[in-house]
Amino acid sequence: MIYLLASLGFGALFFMLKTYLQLNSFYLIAFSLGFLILISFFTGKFFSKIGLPAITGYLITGLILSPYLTGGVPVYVLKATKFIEEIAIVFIAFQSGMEIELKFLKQYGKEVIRLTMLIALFAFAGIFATSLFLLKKFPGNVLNTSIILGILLILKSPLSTIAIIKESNTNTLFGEKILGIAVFKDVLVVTLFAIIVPLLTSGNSSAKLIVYGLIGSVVFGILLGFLISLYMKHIKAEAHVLIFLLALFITELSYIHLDPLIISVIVGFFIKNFTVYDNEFSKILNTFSPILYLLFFTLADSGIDVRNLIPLIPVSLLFIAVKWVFTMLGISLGTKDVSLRKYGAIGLLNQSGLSLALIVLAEAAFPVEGPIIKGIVITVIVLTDIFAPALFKKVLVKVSTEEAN
Amino acid sequence: MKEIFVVALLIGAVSYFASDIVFNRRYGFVKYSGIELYIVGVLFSFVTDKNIISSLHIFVIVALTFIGFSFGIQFDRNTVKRITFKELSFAFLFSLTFFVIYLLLGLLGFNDNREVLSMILSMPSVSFLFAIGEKRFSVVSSEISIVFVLLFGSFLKFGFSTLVVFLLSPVFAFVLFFFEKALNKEEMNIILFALLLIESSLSASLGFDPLLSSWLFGFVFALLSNSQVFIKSFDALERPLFLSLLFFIGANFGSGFYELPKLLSLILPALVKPAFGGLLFHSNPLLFLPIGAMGIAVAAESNSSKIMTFTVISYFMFLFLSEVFRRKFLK
Repeated sequence: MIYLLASLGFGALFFMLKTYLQLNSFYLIAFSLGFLILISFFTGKFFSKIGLPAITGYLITGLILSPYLTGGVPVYVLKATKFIEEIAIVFIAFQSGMEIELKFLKQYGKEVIRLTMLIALFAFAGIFATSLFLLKKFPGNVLNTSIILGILLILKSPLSTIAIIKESNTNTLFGEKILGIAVFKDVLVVTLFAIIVPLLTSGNSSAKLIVYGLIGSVVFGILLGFLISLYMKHIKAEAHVLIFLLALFITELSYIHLDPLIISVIVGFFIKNFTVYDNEFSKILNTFSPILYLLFFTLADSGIDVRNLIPLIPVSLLFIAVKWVFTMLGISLGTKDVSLRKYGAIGLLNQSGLSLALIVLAEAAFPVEGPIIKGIVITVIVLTDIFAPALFKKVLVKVSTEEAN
Repeated sequence: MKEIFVVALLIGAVSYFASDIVFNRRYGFVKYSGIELYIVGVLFSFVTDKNIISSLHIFVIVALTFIGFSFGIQFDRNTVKRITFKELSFAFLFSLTFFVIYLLLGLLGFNDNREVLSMILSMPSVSFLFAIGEKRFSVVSSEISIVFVLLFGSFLKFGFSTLVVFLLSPVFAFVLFFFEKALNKEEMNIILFALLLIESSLSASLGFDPLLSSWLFGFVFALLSNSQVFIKSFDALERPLFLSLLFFIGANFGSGFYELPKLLSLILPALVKPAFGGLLFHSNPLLFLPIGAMGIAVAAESNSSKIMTFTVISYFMFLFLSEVFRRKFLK
């Protein structure tokens, strides 16, 4: 209860001081960020106490304090702090990469890839068919809308997956498999997107560019991982400064069509599996990650104008249900793992933040269909952000207890 | 803007690693001076817009509150208990003497920002004294004298509104202390980070000295609680923060350059400190040459390119001189 009171108290103080002091825009950035951290942190603590994931608390704080609901955090503060989100993605992706062990891939790689393919195929088919049926009356080519929606809604957030696994304090094979599927889904969707979008828009220059981006990102990730290990071997000093600078640098690589997410996952994977510096690297990540996690999940949804999404809630809920049912079908055909068959679909419900990045590309490629695709995907992200992490945490604890017994 | 910033930081990082190899162990102090970040900052000042540089000032204010807090928590209960009356009175006299001397010297030709210049010049470099193994008395007295200089400067710059700082900063310390038992180290770091952000923005917009207010925040918290929890985290932050300040000062190089001959004439009065310092502490006068990290922080806080350029050039020059005479210092 004290955490809820602290959150509400800091919230009240924030609005009071903001109104009374009339800070200039420069100082308001640091001021808002400070209060955002405090309010979000205590909301997260309160959620943890009542058995829900802290990140649900962070996401809800972000939504409540957004410029479109209470107006707590102005739009320009969100713009000025955008780089924090980008750096956080890199750090979280470093950790995602470090979670993938070669040993695990050798043992379960085939199963995870087969499952990912099946789940993706079924989920795509379900969403595609539903979309064809539901979105006929919306502007644009319904076939294009359905294909793009089908691809985008396959995604599952590896970032929230890793956050929930860490928070639940469990170490289960089920969790590792879900994370593996989430990461492979990201790779699969980026590849599919690279191939399908140019085909639908009958252009091939961007297809080449995206394929170059994919291969380039993998190569660049390996190179950076190798350079970091060389640095840790020969220089060591100020390694956390180097890692932070590299994170900043990676966020900028999208300008040359490389994918910061893939690069970061590869860096983490390379350091974990091909060097002896994984512990040191992990320690460095742990110094930054708690605050970056909190800020990332707080800021993630705070830029979304939820008022515009309200009319799309029923249709988005239907898409979530379809995704869940068809994911379950894919899992039951693809594996005999009891935990996965029972709870896998719940673990794979949370929509990925990567879809937010891909929406931008989709909007540019399909100016007519873009707005409806964007609206539905964002609504699905917001809705699943509210309840999916809590369900996944519960499932993880349950599986952990079952595995222990 | 961010792209240039990132590229500049990367150049800085690369040059830092290069300096690590070039200087090796032979030039210990120069190696850790951070000169490469300053040079990158200077280069950055030529390729970027002035508005962008001035927009970085908010990051500097945040960095200053971290530096102030980190300095404040060093005065924990045990350290404070061990401070003798002799050390305290010595520090007071040392700081007051030099502050007044520099204030008077400043009146001769540098009327603008003379209190800032006096603060910078009268602050000793504690880390330097510590690094060369100076006796405890000199190190502790120097640390306390920095606090006195901050107080004198703040009263001179902000008048009696400084007293508000004495009411505001302890509130932050009490908030942090209140949650200490309920939260773990990682969570306390998050709360501290948030409180420092709020404090930095409040001090800057209400016209208080961010360094003094955050020092007081750290000091009150260290008296209330087990500040050791934070000391390790802040050790890791200290150098990146210092390097960022040097980068910022370098980025403000522009107009300071044209005033350089006039500013360099200030180095002569700056020699007053080693002369008197040597007499007062009965030590090698050259010990009191370098301008320390707190001097750099005060310069960055002033946001005056003249002051910043002068401070950093004196800092490198004195450091270089100290390097030359290093063998003499080592006991």
